[in-house]
Amino acid sequence: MFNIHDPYLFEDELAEDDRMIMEAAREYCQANLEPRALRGNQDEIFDPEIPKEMADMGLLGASIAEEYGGGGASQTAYGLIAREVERVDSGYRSFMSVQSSLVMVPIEKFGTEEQKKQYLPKLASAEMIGCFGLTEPDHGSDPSSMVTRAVPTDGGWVLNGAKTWITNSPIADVAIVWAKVKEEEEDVIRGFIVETSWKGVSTPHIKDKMSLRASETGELVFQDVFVPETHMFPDIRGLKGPFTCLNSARYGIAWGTVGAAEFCYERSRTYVGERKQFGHPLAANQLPQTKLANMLTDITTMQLLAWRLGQLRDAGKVDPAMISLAKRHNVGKALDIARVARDMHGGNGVTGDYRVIHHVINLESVNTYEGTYDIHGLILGREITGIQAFVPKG
Amino acid sequence: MQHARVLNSGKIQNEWTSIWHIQTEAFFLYSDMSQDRTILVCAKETPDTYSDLSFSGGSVQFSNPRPVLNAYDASALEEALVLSEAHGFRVHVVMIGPEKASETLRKALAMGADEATLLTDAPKDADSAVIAKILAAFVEQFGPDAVIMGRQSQDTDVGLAGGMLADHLQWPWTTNAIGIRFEQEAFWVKRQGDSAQEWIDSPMPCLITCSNNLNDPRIPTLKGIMASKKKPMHIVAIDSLPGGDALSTLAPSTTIESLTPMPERAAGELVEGDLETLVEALMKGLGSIPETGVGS
Repeated sequence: MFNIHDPYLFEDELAEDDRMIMEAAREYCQANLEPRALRGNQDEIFDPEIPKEMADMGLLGASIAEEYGGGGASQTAYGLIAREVERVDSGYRSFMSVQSSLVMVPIEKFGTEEQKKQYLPKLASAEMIGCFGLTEPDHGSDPSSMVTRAVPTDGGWVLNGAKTWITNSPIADVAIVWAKVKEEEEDVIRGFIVETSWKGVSTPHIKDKMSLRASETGELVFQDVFVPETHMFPDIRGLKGPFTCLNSARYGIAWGTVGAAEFCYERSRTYVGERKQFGHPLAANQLPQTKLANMLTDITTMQLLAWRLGQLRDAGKVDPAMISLAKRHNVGKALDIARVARDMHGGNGVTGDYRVIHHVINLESVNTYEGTYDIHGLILGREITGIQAFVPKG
Repeated sequence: MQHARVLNSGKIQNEWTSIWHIQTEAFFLYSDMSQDRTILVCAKETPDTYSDLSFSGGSVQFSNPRPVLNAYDASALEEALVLSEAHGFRVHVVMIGPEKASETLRKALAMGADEATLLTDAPKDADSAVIAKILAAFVEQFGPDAVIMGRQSQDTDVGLAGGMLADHLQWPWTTNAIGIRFEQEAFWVKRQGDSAQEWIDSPMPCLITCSNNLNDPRIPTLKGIMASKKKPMHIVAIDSLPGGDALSTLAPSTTIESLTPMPERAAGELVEGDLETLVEALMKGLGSIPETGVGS
């Protein structure tokens, strides 16, 4: 029998643990997040209970080691969770991705034993909320030009600068901050764990955001912030640090957008089956049918890409360009699907009740953040041609 | 007060006399007398009846191809886990099904059950009577202090297995539970009747069949799922149970002749006009309702 949700039956190929985690995450998201999604998006509400609920379910730091409070699950399981959360709202998935991939991953990979013990269990239990500061007001796709700087002082560092478009910053207790320091006359990017309660740290909320309204976004501003030496990552240097985190988050996005696309496809399928015009369901017409066929074809490619990428990550055989390919492809296709879904819903497509327009507008952000669609194209272009084209030649 | 009891499988009677329970704090003080006692939850895996279904070639196809834990049994398990947390019962779950049903059974372990048994190689097309006999053989061998299970399964909605099992065991049986407490070496079961609720005192060993209004079953957590791998799950062929040779060849006493979709509801009639016209149409409509249907 042809499965109209999973045509190539990739869910049958999942390991039993991963499938069980997927189903539990789906049950939680549909029972607890979906009912909040309309108001969350419309009224810009991130329910403060959500982090604790996700933590109780084990969804924060799912693939972090169990000894630090994580779930010890596979990379595939982490991706499947992202798919279920983003099926509801990319904003909720953004919260979870930042906490898990951009905050817990660097502490686990680059932190000292003391840093891991101090922060990871509290981040897994949502006792602490984390955020990640790389992008600056004038430095987005080109993070190596950042101006945030740490200078040495007695017992640590003094941090100055500003970061923007920081998911979770207004509600965060801790920030992973990437800043330049001078080492042997060279500027080197280093990572710091900064608590937002420290003197000189402010986290203003970004107002009037029209996308990802169900998640908090803000800035991180540092004015002569003293950061103890114990809060610097000891060994990681350069963009490899933040890019390791971004690779993890981008991988989660490749999965998450599968969920958003599946939601839009399902809503469209239901809508054209129920909506009658000229005496027949819209689904009885050729145009809606081929639109649904295109959606399902794209969703199938997205599912298989994400699933295989998960296998490669679990096997330790992933190259960052593989993640660029999947992030770029899956977000781009999800956005196309969401836009067509909006169109298929006619006038109803712009109302909150059907929620497809929420996904359209959310995915506009997802297409841009964590490496824009075009930047990932340039990463792939460099791999294909051997020539970098990030820096203009003109 | 007497207890719910099954007299025979053909004619089920309740001997108990119900009371309107007056709850007092003193009466419901928890005790820890139940250490090392076991609640057995009988569970079934069913098709995902919440997914889209279609009829083809006389059988039903569900859009979600993976079976799920019967929702009524999930409620029974949830209640067993709550009783376990309060009183220290061990919770063991038994399921009859193919070996691949172990994934559904593992969900019960992930929710918090201590141990599970999967009874495999059931006779083909086993119906409620066959299932009840197999479960009775397992219960008699296993010797739990109570059996808690769903009152029916969400696919067929037949609801016979629990009563038949109680009959085989000659245990007190309370139906349609919407609340269970353990006090003074007995289970107190709040059951939903047609027009009222009753509290039934049911001494051990006993069998309780549960409504899905009993509780909201917990969703397995990631930690629960990972921990479930380390919990014992026994795969037992039915013919290895006491009397197993006879059990594995039991023939069903019912057969399914055909499966057809529910007939679609006829479209309603839209009546327009002034008040007199509307009242006339309403009276005409009421007149077409059979007398027994009015006010019942």
